Amino acid sequence: MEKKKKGVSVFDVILTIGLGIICITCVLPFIHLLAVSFSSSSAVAAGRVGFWPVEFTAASYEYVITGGRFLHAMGISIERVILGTLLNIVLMVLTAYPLAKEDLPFRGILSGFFVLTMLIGGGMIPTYLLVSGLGLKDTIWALILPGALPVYNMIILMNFIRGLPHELEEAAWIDGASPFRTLWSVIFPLLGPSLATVGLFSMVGHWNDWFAGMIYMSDPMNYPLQTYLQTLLVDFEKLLQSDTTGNIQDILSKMNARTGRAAQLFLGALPIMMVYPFLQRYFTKGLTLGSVKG
Amino acid sequence: MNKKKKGIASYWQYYLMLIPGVIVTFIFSYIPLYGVIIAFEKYNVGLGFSSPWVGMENFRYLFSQPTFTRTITNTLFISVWKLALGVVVPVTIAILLNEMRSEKLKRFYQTLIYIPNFLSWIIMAGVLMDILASTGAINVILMKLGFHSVDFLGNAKIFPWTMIISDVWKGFGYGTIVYLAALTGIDPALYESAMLDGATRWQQIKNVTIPLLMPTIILMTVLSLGSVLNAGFDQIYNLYSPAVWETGDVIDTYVYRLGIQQAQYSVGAAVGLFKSLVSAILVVVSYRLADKLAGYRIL
Amino acid sequence: MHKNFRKGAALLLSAACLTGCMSKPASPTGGNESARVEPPADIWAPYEETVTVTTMGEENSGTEFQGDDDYGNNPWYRAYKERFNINLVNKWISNDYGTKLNLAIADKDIADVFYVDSARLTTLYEAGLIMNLDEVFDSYASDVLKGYRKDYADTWETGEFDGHLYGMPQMSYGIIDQFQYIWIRQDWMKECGFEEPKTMDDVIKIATTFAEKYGGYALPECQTLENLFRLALSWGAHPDIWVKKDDGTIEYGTIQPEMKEALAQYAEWYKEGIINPNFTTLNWDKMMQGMINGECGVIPFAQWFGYNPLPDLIKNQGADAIFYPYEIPTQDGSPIKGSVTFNNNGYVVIRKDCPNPEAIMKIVNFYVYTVNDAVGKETNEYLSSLHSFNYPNCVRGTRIINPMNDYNQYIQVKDAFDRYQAGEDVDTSALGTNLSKYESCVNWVTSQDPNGVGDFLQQGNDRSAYGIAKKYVDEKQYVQDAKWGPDTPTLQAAGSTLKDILVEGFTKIIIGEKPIDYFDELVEQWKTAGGAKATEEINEIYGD
Repeated sequence: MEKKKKGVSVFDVILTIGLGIICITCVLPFIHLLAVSFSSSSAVAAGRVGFWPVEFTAASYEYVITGGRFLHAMGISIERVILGTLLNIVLMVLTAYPLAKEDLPFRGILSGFFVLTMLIGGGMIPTYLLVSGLGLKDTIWALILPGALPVYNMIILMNFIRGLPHELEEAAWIDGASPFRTLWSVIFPLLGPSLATVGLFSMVGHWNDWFAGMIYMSDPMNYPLQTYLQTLLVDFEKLLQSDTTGNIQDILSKMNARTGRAAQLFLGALPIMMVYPFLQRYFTKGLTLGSVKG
Repeated sequence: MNKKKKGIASYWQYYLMLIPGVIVTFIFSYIPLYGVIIAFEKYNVGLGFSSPWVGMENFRYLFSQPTFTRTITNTLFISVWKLALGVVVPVTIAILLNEMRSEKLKRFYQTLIYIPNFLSWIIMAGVLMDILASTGAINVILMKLGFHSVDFLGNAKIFPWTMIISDVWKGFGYGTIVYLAALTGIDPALYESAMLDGATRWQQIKNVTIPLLMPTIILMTVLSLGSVLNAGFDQIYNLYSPAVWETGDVIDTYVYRLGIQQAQYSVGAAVGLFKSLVSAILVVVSYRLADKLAGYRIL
Repeated sequence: MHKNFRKGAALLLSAACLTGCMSKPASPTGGNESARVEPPADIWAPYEETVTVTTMGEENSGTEFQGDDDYGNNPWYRAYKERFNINLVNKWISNDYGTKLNLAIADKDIADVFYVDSARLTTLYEAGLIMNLDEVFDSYASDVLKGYRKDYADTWETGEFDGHLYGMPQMSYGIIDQFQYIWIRQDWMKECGFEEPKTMDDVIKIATTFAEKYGGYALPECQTLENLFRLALSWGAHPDIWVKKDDGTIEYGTIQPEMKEALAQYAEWYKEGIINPNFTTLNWDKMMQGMINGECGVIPFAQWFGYNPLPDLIKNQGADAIFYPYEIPTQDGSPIKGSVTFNNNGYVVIRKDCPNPEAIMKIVNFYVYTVNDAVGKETNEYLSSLHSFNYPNCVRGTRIINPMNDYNQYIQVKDAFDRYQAGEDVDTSALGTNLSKYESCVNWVTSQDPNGVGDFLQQGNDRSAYGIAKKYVDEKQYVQDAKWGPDTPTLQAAGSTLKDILVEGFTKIIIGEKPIDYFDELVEQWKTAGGAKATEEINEIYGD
């Protein structure tokens, strides 16, 4: 076999190049975006920008950074990601561990209690009325509490805990450790890769969510980053649909916004693109966890 | 372990751990369920939940609306294609990646294709609007090649395909990695014996790889059946326009427009309930199927 | 509405002139209103103690905030505080106003004053959440505002339930911007020695000569058949609006026999190669791209051709490539009649339990004051501080627009510009908020600044679009949409599908895929697809 594998056939070349092209399509748009964000608006309007900046300028980034709004929104997003992910992890671990106990009385009913919420919901308006009634509107908790326990990820974690060897846990019991103590000093250290996976899913989820920010925040200044970016999209959409009713002068002046928008989109994507390669192996592990048999 | 089986009392610490999760879930997932009542009422904001009861009237109205029935067709069209291509594309790429000799390049490729998966649809919508615009990169290339420019987001005939392909493009990295993981689990001895039998690479793929990948394929397909009514709200909402409602309006965007933007609270709630029920049935059925066909159990 | 229209125009004009001429150093608190206002001695008086009023608003990226200004602190909000001791506070500001508003309504957590569309006006009325404004309007509305209600009674009635006022219509900038023209490229016209077209044949002659001489095609068009719908006015058709027939019934303009005639001629032109043969592949943007590239010198279009695409066209083709608007000639030589649609920006509503509805009337009055009788009473700087940088967007929920706004603006700008052209002194301080329009016109003629050509062609001179449209307004040369209000349920549900059936079918007729009599078949299709039901509803709601 070793011998056979050494020869590089035409097939291998085509394969490598073909896959290479497919893979590159996954990043080309972002390279294009980057090029647009660093180009002059007239070059962009004339469609002269491909994958390299034309008439290089960092004006868009200057505008974005000094404008304040972008960084402020990013700060809110970061706050949300930290608080939200921590809360998610605490609640997921606390819930998954007991549910992983096969002999826990009423385990079936309790599991059902959680699983059912994945199947049916009350809809947006009752949820909104609830959040509003609890006085959470305009606080970061409106973005965090309603999704504080991601049930699907909790189940992934639970299945992982069930797959752990029982011996360590039993040793702890014999030493007289309480369930809390066991969870903290025995189980928790073993959760590494799975916790990293579900934790990262939480992070990405919190970072990418735009909807909650839009409906629960009264002041656009308090929008998290993705919600703020969404307002830019809406403006762009209005621009595309512009017809006789719009104020044409306004719209024309916004044409130059394309480079600025590209810069903001790129900066919005950047944290994830930077974090991701380092955590890739956890994701890979985490994805296969879902198919761990119970 | 049986010796540990004592009365419920000895489990009190476990129940204590569950309390925060139960409370949060009860408050934010169960209390809002009272909202389904709206679907059976002619909801008047002033009267609140004691609005006049109309029974199934909202549902009858809904199904008489061509704008609603078309959302079902649109949803099914878009999501079935997304499902199908969402299996075929990652399986193909995974098999091809698996054939690659260089481990380093393979890992690099994996990294690239997985990137779009983690970006929000807000970012992706921004990118797509930019490159698909009439003056955007794709149309510039098309025209240089001598084709007509294509209105990817504004033409009702093309819009669903723009959604399908961009979604598959964004998400195929995820599936690819799952299938690759399954492929690395295949015993190399099987390939060796195939090679001894003089099988070509294509024959190896056909006779060894694909059959062994089948359980994972079936599992992934079945599990995604449950979400067949989710054609992708974040994606479509951020990219569609009235010009493409005819083919691009899906159940979720319809609920949103009707229930939230147009304040037809009752009808919006009725659509939501209808979708929830159908989805719940689909999820239950698909997990049963997954158990039967692939021995997969979620609990 | 027509009967009142001229009266209204005259009234407002004379009011503007009157106050402008009486250079009284009065402030708005000066109690200059007539005795018609009865009990509250002075509707302009400030409060002794600060009154706080809440509102909800829409984020608008067009607003160019200066310095530390924002949605909660801007010239308007400061003016309310200074003049009336009213503190206007935003409950929230959103870029998705409709969504946030509906959630707020569901939550019964609404501000004291805000604006809504007609559907939500009904929801709020039925839910008993908004105030009957009869009393507060009678006592506190300024005379000019009451004048609006009288002059545009049919629009104000759409804000009433059982004869009681619940939502004050925010009106629009006026019908003068709704007319259609034929725009013709001037350098080519001069070169070929053409005069103003008097008949449609003249238009076609000009267009085809251009195409022969300069390449391209004679008439542009795109998938949505914009230009057919504009030119159809020549045949007396009124597509897209609902027309009242002689027998009092209301029918849809696009399916009338006049439209069939227009379509037949249009298909003939297509066959002769007059219409751009590729139009079925072009969306609006693409069609405009062709104009910018100089492929065509004649186009039927609205008054804003000078804003888009003309500046780009001029940058591309030079300043001589300017287009001028001309009247669309009719088939029988009678005066052309445009189509005028219901155009209302929304309704101002007041929360039922609002403790200070009169404070809101003061705020509303103040906006009306700044666009009518304030010129001359207030300094130019003061008025433009309120109206520049799109600041009026900040008071989207509390303003009522002057329906004669654009009409008056045209008269002022043209008058000043005429004087400038004649070398006379121009008192720019009298222009108030219209100063920038005037300056754009000057910039165009002095330096051919492409950004000024839009204002120049819209209102800078007699040959401008508003110059033509003023006559239409004065002479009532228009047909008003019989659907003077919001869409009916069937129309709302149908969205654009009903029109799409017709546009698709018309296209087939134009390109010769179907004969002209296919029109009748289309009408039937349109009726069964919901058109018949919509017509029924329209007659029920808007009929006599």
